[in-house]
Amino acid sequence: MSSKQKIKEELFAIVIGALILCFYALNNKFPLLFEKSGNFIDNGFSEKKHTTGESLYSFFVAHASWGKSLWFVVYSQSVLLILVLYYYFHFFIENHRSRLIYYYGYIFFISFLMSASIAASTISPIIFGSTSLLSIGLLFFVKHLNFERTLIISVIAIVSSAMDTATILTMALIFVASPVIYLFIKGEQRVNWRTLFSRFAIVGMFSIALFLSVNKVTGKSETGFQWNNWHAGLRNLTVEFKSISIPKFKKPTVEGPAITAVENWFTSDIRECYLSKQIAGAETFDMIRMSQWMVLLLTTCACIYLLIKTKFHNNLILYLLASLLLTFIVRSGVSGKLEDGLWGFVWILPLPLFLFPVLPNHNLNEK
Amino acid sequence: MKSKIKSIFKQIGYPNFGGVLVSTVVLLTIAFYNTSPLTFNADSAMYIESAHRRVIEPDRPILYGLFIKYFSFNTSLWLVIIAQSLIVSFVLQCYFNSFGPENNGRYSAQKKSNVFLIVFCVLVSLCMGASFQVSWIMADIFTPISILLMGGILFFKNISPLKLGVLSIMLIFSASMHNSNFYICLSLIVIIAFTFLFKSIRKQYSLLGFTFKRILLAFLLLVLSNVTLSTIQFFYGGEFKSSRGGVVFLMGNIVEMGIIDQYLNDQCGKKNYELCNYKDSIPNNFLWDARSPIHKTGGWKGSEKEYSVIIKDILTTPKYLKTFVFSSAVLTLKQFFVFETGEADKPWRRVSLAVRNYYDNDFDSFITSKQSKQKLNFTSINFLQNVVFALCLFIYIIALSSTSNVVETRYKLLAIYMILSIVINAWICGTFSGVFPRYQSRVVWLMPLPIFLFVMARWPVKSANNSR
Repeated sequence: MSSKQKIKEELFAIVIGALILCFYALNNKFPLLFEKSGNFIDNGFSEKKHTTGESLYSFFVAHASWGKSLWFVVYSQSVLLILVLYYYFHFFIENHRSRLIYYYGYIFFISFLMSASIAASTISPIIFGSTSLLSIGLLFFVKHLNFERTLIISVIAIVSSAMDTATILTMALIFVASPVIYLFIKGEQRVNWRTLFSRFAIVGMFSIALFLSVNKVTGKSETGFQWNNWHAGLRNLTVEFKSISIPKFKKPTVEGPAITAVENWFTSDIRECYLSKQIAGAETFDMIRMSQWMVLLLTTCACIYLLIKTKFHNNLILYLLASLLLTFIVRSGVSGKLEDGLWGFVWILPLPLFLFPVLPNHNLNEK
Repeated sequence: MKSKIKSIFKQIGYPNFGGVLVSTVVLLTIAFYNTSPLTFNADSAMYIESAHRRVIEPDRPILYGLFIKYFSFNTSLWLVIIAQSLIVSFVLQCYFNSFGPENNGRYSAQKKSNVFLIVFCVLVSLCMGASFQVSWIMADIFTPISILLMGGILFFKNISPLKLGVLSIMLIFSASMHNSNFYICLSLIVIIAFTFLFKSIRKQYSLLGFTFKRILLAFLLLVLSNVTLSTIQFFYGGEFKSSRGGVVFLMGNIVEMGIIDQYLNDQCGKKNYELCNYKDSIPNNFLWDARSPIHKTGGWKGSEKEYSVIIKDILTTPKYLKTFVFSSAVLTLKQFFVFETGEADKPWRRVSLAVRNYYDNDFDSFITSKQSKQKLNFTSINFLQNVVFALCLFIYIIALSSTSNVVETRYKLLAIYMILSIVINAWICGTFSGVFPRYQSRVVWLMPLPIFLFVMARWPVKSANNSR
């Protein structure tokens, strides 16, 4: 197959993959909304720094929408995520044909049996949490990155990490814990520590700088994170555990911030918004909620089995489990709200299983 | 006993009979479960009434009403859905025979086709919306039938003149059952005809025995279908016109797109439209809301003239046209992914009255049905349908992007035809009527068909000696 043909197929894979990730927005007839989605829209267009820690996401909404339609926002956030996911398959699977099969398989799997599509279809920064974890994972595991790819992955990592407080804190914790994680990484996948340090230094520095420059950081914030009372949030651990389950997408109230913001800033979208399933109160995720729990249970068992069988050599599983644990801890402290919870992240867990059949060091007999 | 039955089937020269019968029953599963044929809002009543009262409704053709009237023998609505199920089974079986292995009268090959047909019907009935569509007193089932018939006319190899004749007559009528069918089929023909311009594609077609003559035949049949419907409508007191209500439907969608607000704000000072009087109170559900201006500006028929002018102006002004094209693309995508089945809420009073007036025998079972008691739940079927849809789309992408010869061109072509017809259905319905789940759920169950046919062709057939 010619390289031109390959590029065409790759572009097609990204465009279609992003579209599949928007399934639940399209199926709902409008992007999914939480009440606080309205705050993001309003803040983005009013161009003021806010203390909520989510100003970058607000700017993203304002710019990615082109001031015209929220459809551009959900598609843009899906494209960023899909790009990172595609890189996983690109770097881990050599054969072009198998790569596409596993890639599409994974995208359909997480979109129709897990919550990835719901997270990508919502006007909320939650999707950037997983984009950040995955892009940092790439910096961890991909040894030979050329300049363009390093740039693309780093920019995505910087932007997605700075989207909200919980994500930037998780990123910081991953970087702090990286020497420990690095010790566990063995085999060919191990990146030179100097390279890793420089990658993390650049991404860490820029994302923190970006976060601080767009947000107004004070002792107390309007919502969620409180700098001097963070430990109190740990009480929310039980709430966070419940948040693995996909939350109820309630019908936004007509006078509420979500509808008002759409009405104010996306006049031509408002009729579409009123005709959505969510507004009609017909949006239920009962079955996918159940399917996510089942898949999660099976995936966790499979991951643990692989970890034991491969004697901790499956670095990606270890990294994803560690990063999910850190996310769990940080989000309990920062938010404790079901809608910001782990439901938007857990779909990354099956990723190693889709890469596993072709991972170079998956020798099950190795003890 | 078994061999006797086999020989009887062979003697009557139609060993497919059993397969069609079983799949007819399977496709009626939802109706059996409901204990009565399913109905929809006021629409089912409108179809029933239109034929019995000889009234041409402003928004739909009369043909499906006549189908109900004559196939029910004025006795029972069950006969209507049995006829629908038989038609679907027959057409599907034509596919399983045509795309299956050369049977040469071998019983085992025939048996294989029948088994695959039945398994396919079980899958699309229990995990998708096929059974619901078949069991519904709605013209929607004739959309997949039209798509299948046209596909058959275009792609069946070595089709006998008798079979071609039967399929052609069926296409003429099924394309006239619903406003959208004609446009869907026409768009398909135009796109396929366009591909004949490319030499490489033409070469592939000729290898498959697919000629331009078939396109011409399909086009001719569509013209005939239009003329037939116009004649029937004229005969029943209407105008010599086939498509009805198109302008009003499009207007309703222009309202949903949000274009009308902008247009009226810009134009009401300059032009004297009656709609301007209501520009601040246009409801989202423009067509069916009781407060809609359509009821105050002359109804469906009376408003058509003004709406035509407005639509023409919108579609010829770049400013609005740009929004229209963008909205049309979004609506097509939305409609493509909105395909929940099971729009069977508690029957409206008008439907109950129509059943009581015209099908009194059915009334008791209708009133005590699960639908009437609101005990139908399609959550599981819809979830399964999502999964099957995802799986089919995955297989399509992988198979169609593959350059290897594992999947023969014939099956690839059929897969492209199916996906194309589903996209066109989404575009026509989404853009010209609105995004509603029933529009897509009527065709989405066609997706597994090419996959089934491919698997069947690969499935080993027992040799003639073994099968005896």
